[in-house]
Amino acid sequence: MDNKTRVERARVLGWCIILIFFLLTSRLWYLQIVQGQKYAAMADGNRIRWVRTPAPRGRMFDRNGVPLATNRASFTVSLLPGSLDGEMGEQVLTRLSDLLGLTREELQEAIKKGISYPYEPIRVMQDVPAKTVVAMEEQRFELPGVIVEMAEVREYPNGPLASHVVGYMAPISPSLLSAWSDLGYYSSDYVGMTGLERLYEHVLRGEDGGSQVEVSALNRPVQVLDEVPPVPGSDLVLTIDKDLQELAERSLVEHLAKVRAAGDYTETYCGVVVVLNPKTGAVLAMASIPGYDPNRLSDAGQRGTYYTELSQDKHRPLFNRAVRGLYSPGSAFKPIVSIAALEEGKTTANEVFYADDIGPYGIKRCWTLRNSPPLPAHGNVTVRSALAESCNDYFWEMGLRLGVDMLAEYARAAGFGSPTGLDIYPSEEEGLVPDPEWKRQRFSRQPRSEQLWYPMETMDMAIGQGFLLVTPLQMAAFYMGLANRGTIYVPYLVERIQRPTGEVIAETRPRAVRVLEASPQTWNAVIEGLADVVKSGTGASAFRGFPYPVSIAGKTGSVQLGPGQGDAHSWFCGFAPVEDPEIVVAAFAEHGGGGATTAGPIVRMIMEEYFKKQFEPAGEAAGDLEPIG
Amino acid sequence: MKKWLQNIDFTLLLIVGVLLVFGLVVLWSATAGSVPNAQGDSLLHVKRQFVWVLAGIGVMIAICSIDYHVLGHYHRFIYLGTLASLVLVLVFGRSISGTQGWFRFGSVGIQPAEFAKIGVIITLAKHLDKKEGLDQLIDLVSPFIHVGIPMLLILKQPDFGTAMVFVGVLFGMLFMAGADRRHLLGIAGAGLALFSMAVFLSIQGIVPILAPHQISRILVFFDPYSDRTGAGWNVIQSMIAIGSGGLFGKGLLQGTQAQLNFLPAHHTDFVFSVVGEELGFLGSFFLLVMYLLLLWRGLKIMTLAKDDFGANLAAGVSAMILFHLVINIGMTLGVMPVTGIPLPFISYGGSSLLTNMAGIGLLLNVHMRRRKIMFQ
Repeated sequence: MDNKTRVERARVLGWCIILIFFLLTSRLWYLQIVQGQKYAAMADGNRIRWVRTPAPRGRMFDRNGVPLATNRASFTVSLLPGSLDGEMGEQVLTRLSDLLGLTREELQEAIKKGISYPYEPIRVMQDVPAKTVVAMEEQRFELPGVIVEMAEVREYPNGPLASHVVGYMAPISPSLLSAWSDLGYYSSDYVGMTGLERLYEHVLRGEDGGSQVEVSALNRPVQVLDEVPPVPGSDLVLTIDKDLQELAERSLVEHLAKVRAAGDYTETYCGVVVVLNPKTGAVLAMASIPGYDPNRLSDAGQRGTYYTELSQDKHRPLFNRAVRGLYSPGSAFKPIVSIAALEEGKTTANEVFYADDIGPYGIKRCWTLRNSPPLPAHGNVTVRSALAESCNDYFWEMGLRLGVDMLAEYARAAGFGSPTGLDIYPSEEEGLVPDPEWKRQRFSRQPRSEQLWYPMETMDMAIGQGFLLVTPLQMAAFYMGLANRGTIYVPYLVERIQRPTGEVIAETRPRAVRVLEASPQTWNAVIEGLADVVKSGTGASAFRGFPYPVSIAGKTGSVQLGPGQGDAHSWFCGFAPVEDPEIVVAAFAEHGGGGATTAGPIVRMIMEEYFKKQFEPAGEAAGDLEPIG
Repeated sequence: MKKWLQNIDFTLLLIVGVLLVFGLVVLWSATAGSVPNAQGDSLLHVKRQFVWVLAGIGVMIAICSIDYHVLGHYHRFIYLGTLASLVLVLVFGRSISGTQGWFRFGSVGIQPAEFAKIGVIITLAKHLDKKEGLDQLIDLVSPFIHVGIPMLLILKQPDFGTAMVFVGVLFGMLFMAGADRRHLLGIAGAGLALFSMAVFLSIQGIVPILAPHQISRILVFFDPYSDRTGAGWNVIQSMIAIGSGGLFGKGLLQGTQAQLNFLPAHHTDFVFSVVGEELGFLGSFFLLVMYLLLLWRGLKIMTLAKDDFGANLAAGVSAMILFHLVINIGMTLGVMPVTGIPLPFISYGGSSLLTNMAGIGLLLNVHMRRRKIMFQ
């Protein structure tokens, strides 16, 4: 080949090469200059991770600073569900079940319940012993997707105490996660499920901090670029008095057991005690029995089985009867009927009514006559003695004199049929104050005769039976109104919200939203009647020998249930001292029978303990005194 | 001796020197902190590569000191030796990441396919030199067979990328040796059509001509995000690395993609991505210009060659380097499929460096014994 052709061909090749280099350079230009910003951002996205530092959750204290909910550092084991696929995942599960002493089924159950995103860790066990943690660290390369870390877990130092008030924590549900999507929750987060944990979730939670960490391709941290400290959640100081709460729960459990053992009422397992400070509405104790141990419900390893156990329990331990239980008030309702009759001029304090204990229309019999053996009829009664002796005949009469609408009006004025306004989750039931209009609508699909309101139903309502439904908390609030001669404060559980440093952020001021208007004469008559209940009336047996010179007023209630529905429910609501009430106690026992038998003694125990502190100051205080001289 | 020295292409030597130094510096940055080694010596890779550089210089000097006509004289031995080494590696070789292409001597791995490039260039140059003409299509059959046999052996390993370099070398040398460009274009077109057909049939699962990982690499070439954590990962991370380098780059040892190991194989096949990330557009462009100058010297030597055999040699070496560049840099820029082709003079690895230095030796050889048209 001659040199000319060769040069010519070399030139062609040269141009080809230049073209190729031009194309490569263009591509370089495009990637580095045109798209440079985008790729720089992607490179940062590769290497920079936001690692969350969870904020310590706010604690809960009783009114005296005794902790009810705190946090505790604990080794936790979590799993990334996305890394558990295939054979490797099987091996990891096998190793993990050996290490943690959980069965594979339990592990898979926990994963199934916790899974929402494949790359969000699921906590499968907390309080992992240090020995296991060491063993897991040694095997960490055989356990991909398993995270062992020190995390704060919720602790309820008093176990089941006030469980319905305090509540418990659980992994956030998908529906809550989407509802709270703007609040920065992660699917691995634990949130308050019920009680104050839930209601004050956003106060307790605080704000998570975090650090910007540079990581390698293997996700190993290389350096911390930026750090934002978490803002700890705020503490709640409750109105609850831990000792009183403990007493309320213990007296319920012990006394119901005693009643069952006595053989008269063998089905009484569930009950409520609500203790209020009538001067403010502060809830000093709120017990609903049976309760549950929030520690076990909040524990990743136990929650599944424990929750199943609780939800299958026929006594429904998860149910907060104090605010969600709906019952007839029985005779404990009679004070509002008395007030209505006196205020509406349907009777006077001095009117003497002859009670033959056979109700108007001759169909109903008072409890005296149905007793075996029958007790003598009440005979001549006034409003005061009718209350003291719980004379149904008298209140049937008053009910008919007032009429259902007037009864309903006073019942509503006393707070029945609407929530008291307590800060609790799940929120209160409203209850039911029936009237003819309600009945017509309620039974609109039934024949006309079923829709009519009958005088018999007015009579039932006048003794707290029939369609009337109340919550134990409403009863306590009503008795707070009686104790205060009218004023009903909104009950509240949170005294104040404060930062962990003690700085107060918010404080609850007592709010009187409801006032039962009545004349002093009316109040005197009703309150004297209620005091007589304890002194000499239906409640006297429960309070006989009360050790302290305190006058107590109260009312028994015994809710007759339909045939086959079991023993009557037992109520006792009262307050003390009568002259200047400091404490309102409402006690209720499902199927507890007579008010004086079951609920009455529980109220007495609580009052005794409460006044003991006033009349017998703690012994060690005297011993601490420095001898003078 | 003085005359001999005078005839050395110092421009070419300078360019190669710059590339080698550039390569060692980039290699230092790419390996110092991010490529672990058992010795715990952050300079281990640089030291080893430096030894290879010295060895390469030795090979270069050795090759240019033997008259290339002597090499041509032994073309049969070279060809048979090349084929033998490729057969032996298939029988006794070590397999690394799925390719059986390595002989292992102690801690040193040797890739016969690399040296086969030089063997094929020398023997094909001789073969084309001996042919009467290349005007007829039938004349192209024997060169194709000549390159085809070692190429098939390499495809058997399988090493698709290296085989592609052989195709490039063949076409480059045929073109320079005077083959009809319409023939070459026709054959290239037909080859591309056949290849597309093979890809299509494999993807559809009708005839499994290509291995699954080859199909996925081709699919990923068209859309890296179709398998972003698998086969597409390298390409995506390489493009992020280069793109994030911007105009000036992040500086040596500062490229997060490379230093934090997001970029795989960043001291071997993806070393250009490190250049792009740490030295930016300016550094990358500088490197491209160096290569362009190198190829310019290659073409120049081709025209200066004393005879067709010398010109064929220069064409072969230039084509080899060109195809390495295009396939490797194109891959890092996301415009070529991922193949395990190293970047000449820069990528870590001895076989590739020795081969390229041998190629430079051939270029110097041809240049030194060029046509005497000067006034001497």
